[in-house]
Amino acid sequence: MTSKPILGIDLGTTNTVVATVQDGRMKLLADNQGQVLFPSVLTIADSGQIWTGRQAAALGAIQPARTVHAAKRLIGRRWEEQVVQKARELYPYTINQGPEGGVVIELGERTMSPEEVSAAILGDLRERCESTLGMVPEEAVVTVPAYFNHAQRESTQNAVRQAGLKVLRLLNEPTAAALSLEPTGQEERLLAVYDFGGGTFDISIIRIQGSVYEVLATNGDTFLGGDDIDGLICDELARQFEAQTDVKIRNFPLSWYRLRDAAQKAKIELSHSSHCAVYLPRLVGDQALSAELTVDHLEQMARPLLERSLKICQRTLEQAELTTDQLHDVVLVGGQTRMPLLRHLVEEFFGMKAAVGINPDTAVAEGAAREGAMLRHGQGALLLDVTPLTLGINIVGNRLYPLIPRNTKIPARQEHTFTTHRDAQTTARMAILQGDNPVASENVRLGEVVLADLNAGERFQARIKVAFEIDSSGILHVKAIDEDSRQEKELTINNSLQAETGEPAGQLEEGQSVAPTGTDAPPTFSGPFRATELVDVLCFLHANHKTGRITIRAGELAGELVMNEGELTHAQTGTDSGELALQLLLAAEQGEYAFQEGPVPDQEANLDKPFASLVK
Amino acid sequence: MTTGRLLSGGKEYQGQLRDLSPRGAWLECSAPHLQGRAVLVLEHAQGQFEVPVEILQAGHEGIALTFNPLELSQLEALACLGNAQPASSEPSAVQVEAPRGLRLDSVADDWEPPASDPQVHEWAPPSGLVPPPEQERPVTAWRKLPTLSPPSTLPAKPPPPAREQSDDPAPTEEAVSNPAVTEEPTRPRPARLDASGQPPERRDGQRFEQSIPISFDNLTSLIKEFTHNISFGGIFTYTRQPHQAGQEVAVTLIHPVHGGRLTLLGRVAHASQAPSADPVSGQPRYGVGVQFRLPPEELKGLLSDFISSHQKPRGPVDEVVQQARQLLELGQESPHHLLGVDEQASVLDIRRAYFALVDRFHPDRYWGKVPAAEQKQLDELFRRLTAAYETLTS
Repeated sequence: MTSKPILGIDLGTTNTVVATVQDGRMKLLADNQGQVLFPSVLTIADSGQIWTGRQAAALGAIQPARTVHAAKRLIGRRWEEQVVQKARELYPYTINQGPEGGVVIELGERTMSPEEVSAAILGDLRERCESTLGMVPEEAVVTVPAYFNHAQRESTQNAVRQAGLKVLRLLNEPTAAALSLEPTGQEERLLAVYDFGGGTFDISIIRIQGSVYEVLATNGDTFLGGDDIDGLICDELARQFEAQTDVKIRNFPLSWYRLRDAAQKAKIELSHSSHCAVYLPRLVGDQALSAELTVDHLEQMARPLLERSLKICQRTLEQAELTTDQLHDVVLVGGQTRMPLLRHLVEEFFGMKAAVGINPDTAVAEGAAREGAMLRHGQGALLLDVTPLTLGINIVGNRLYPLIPRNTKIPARQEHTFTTHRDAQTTARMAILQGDNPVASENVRLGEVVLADLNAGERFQARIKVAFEIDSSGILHVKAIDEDSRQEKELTINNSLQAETGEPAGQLEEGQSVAPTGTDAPPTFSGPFRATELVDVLCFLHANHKTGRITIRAGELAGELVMNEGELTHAQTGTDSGELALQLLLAAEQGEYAFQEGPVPDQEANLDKPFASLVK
Repeated sequence: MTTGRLLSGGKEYQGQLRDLSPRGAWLECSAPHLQGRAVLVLEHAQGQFEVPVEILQAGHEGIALTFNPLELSQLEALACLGNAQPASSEPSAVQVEAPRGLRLDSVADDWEPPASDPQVHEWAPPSGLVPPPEQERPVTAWRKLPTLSPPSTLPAKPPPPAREQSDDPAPTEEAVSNPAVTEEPTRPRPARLDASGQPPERRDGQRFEQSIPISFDNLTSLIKEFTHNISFGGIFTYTRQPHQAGQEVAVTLIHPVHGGRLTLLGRVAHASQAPSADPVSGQPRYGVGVQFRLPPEELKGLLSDFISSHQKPRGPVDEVVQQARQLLELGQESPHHLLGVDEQASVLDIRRAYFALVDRFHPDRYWGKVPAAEQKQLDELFRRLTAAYETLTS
C-alpha cells in the first residue's frame, strides 16, 4: 500500500502552489488547464457560490468588491495594525473590524475572516489532489514568510486545518526554497535565498553540507512584495487618469480592479521590454485610460522598495557573521525576481550571478514537499531550522528578557532563574513574549504564567526558574517553578487558539513582574514606566551593582540619576538637584526611562544612600 | 594454531582459525559467497567439536564467524583458544594439555577453579577456562613490546576502584588473568605476531570519531558500550568498570546499518584507573583503549566497513535510539567529547562532526517512528549536540 502523500503547500499572497513527492518523484499539482500556479483569490457569486483560483480571478473583474485576493497579508493581523489600514487603501474589497480585534472581509451578504478565505482556497486544492494524485491527502508541510509572527503562523495553520489537512510543519519560505536544491556532496556551500514574493520579502542564509541544511539567519518584511510594486504602478496610472479626466478612480471599485490588473500586466511586460502601453477603454464611464510606461519610470518607482530589501539582506548577513564574498550562491525565489532591475541590484549587492535552474514560482512548494517526504521516510535533505523571532518574558522595568533568542536551532531549550524585586511580593506574573523589541510591551504576547502565593520574603530572595522548550514540532512549552514552594506552572503554546494571539503585550500590573538573577542584564535598557515601576528598576540596578546614568522623561519633567556601584549618588532635574530632584522624579505617574551603563564622572554626591528610604 | 573446517551448504572449507574468542572467530579461507548459518568443526587435541556459527562476513581473505551465544560453544571455543596458542615461539608447538574438565556435556558440573585462585566465581566456567597461570598465554608476550604500555605500570597495578554493582565479577576475573601477565614478562611472543612484523602502533593511523555499538568481553562480563573512536589499530571506549592494561578482551563490533557483528581479539593498551564521573548518571566510567591483535593492514579490510558505516543508510531505529541514549550519557561536560573531536579540531572538523551526528540523530529523521519519550531524548540529544557545536565554534 502506498502511504498517502504529504503535501508541500506554498500559500502565497498572489498564487498558491502545491507539490508532493510521490514514488520518489516531485509532482506539482496542476489545475485542469495544466497550470501549477493557483491564484490565491476567492470570490462569492451572487448565488452565494464560492469560487477560488483562476475562476475567482476571472470573476473578480466583474465583481471586485466581492473578490478577495492577497488574504495572506491580513491573516493573523489585528485591526489596529498599520498594515491593515494600508491594505484597506490598497484593495478594492472592504476590510472591517472583526471579533476580538481581528479582521474580517465583507463580501456582499457574507463576511469571512482571512483565515476562512485561505481555508476555502486550500480546501479546493485538496479536493483537486484526488484527480491528480489519486488520493485525498491528509497531511501537509506549509510554508510561511520567515518573518510571520506567532499569530500569523497560527492563523495560517488554522486555515490549513480547516481545509482538512493536518499541519506537520510550518517552514519558512526561503528555507523551503533552499530545500528544493539538490544536496551537492560533502563540500560545504553557503547560500543566500532571496525571496521576493507577491506580498512578503524574506531572506535566509543557509549552509549545506552533505544532506544537512543549516539555517544561519533569516529575516524579512511582511509587507514588502510584488503587490507593492503593482500598487506603485497603479497609483501612477491613477494619477495620470485623474490628470486627464478629473475622475477619482479609487471611488470605482470595478475600475480600480481593472487598473490593478493592468498595472500587474504592465509590470510583467516591462520585465521583457522597455516600453509598455496601457489602454483601458471605458475605465470609468466613457473615459478611457491611455498611458505609456517605461522601464526607467518603473525602476525609478520600484528602486526604493528593492533597496529596502537589500538593507534587510545586509542585516541578515551581519547576523550570520558573514560577508557576501563568503557566499557561494544567491538563489532568487518569487515571481517578482524576474524583474531585471531586481536581479541587477541583487547580483550587484551579492557580487555574483544569481543561481540558475530554480523555478522561482515553485521552489518553495517543492522544498516543502521534500521536507514532507523526509518526515515520512526519514531520508533526504535534513533541515536544521531556527526560531524566527526571539522568545522571552517580561521583567522589571517593562523589559524583555530573551530566553530563546532568534535564530536558535530548534528543538531548543533554555532556562533562567528569576527573582522578585519587591519586598513581600507574593505574585510573579510572567508574560510570554515574542519579538525583538527590548521594550516588553512592544512585543507580541503569547500567553502568561502566574505564580501566586510565593513566600512573602525579602526582594531578590525568591528563586523562580523559568524554562522555555521548543520541541521538534515547533510547539513552545513554558514551565515556571518556584524553588521555595515547589510550585509549578506550565503553559503549552501550541498552534491552537488558546494562546492570546497577536495581542500587543501591554504592560503588566505593577509589582508582579520578576527580575533576572545574575548580573547578565544588558548594558542598556529603557522603556516606558508607570507609577512606582521606576523604583523597581532602580532597585534592580541597585541589586546588580550597576554603574551608569538613568535619564528620565515624564511629561514636562526631565532629569537624570547617576548610579555608582548600585548606589544612587546624584539626582538632577532641570531646576532641582539632590534629594528634591529624586523625589520629583520618583513621584512621576508615568514616563520613559533609559539606563546607560558605563563609567560615571567623579562628581560630588548630592544624595545620601537613598536606598533605605526607597525600600519601603 | 588451530585448524577449523566450516561446513556450509554441503561443502567444507578449511583454514587457519584466528582470533578465536568466546564470541566468534576468523577462518582464513577464500569463500566470499558464504552467508547464513554454518557449522564450524574445531580440531582439538581432545578430539573435534562441532560448533554452530553464523557467518557475518565472507571474503577472499577469510570468513568472520560468530557463535551462537546460547550454546556451550562459547566454552569450547574458549578452550580451544587457550590450547591453540603456542607454548613457545615455534608455531608448530600446538600440543598443549587440554584444560581440565572440559567436556561438551559436563563443563559446568565438572569444572573446578584452580586451587591457586580461590576467588573465582562459581558461575564462571568461561573465566576458569582461561588457562591457569603456568600455562602459556599470548597476552604475556605482548607486554614485552616496546610500543605498548610500559611494563612498569603493570606490576604496580592499583587495586580496582570500588564498584557500584556488587554482583560484578570483573575484579576477581582480573585477579585470575593478570598474574599471568605479570609473572612471565619474558615470554616470547607468538609466531603469528612475529610474522606480522610490528604489532599495531598504538593509536595507529587516523582515528574516526564514531559511535559503533560494541560488546566488550573481558571473559567474565559482557559490557555493551559504544566506541568513542575507532582506528585501524583499535578502539577507545568508556566502560562502567575499570580494566587493567594488558588484559585480554574480545570486542564485538555491531554494524550500525546491517547489524553484522565482527569479533576481534585485543588487549587493553590503555586503561584509566581513576574514574571520571559520568555527568548524567553520576556513575563512574573508565576510559579504555583496546588494541586489536591483527596487524593494521588486515584490520583495514575488516574494519573499513565499520568505519565508514555512518555514511550508509541509517540502521534500525532502535539502535539509533540506543546510541542516542549512550551519547546523552556522555553529558555536557566536554563538548569535544560529545562531538567526538580532538581538542585541536578546526572549526571545519567540528562542523563536519556535528553535521554527521545531526544527520543521524535529528529527531525529524525519526518523526512518527519512535514513541514520544524517545523522541524527547532525540530532542535533548540534538540540543546538546547543538550546544556543544555552538560552544566550540563561537
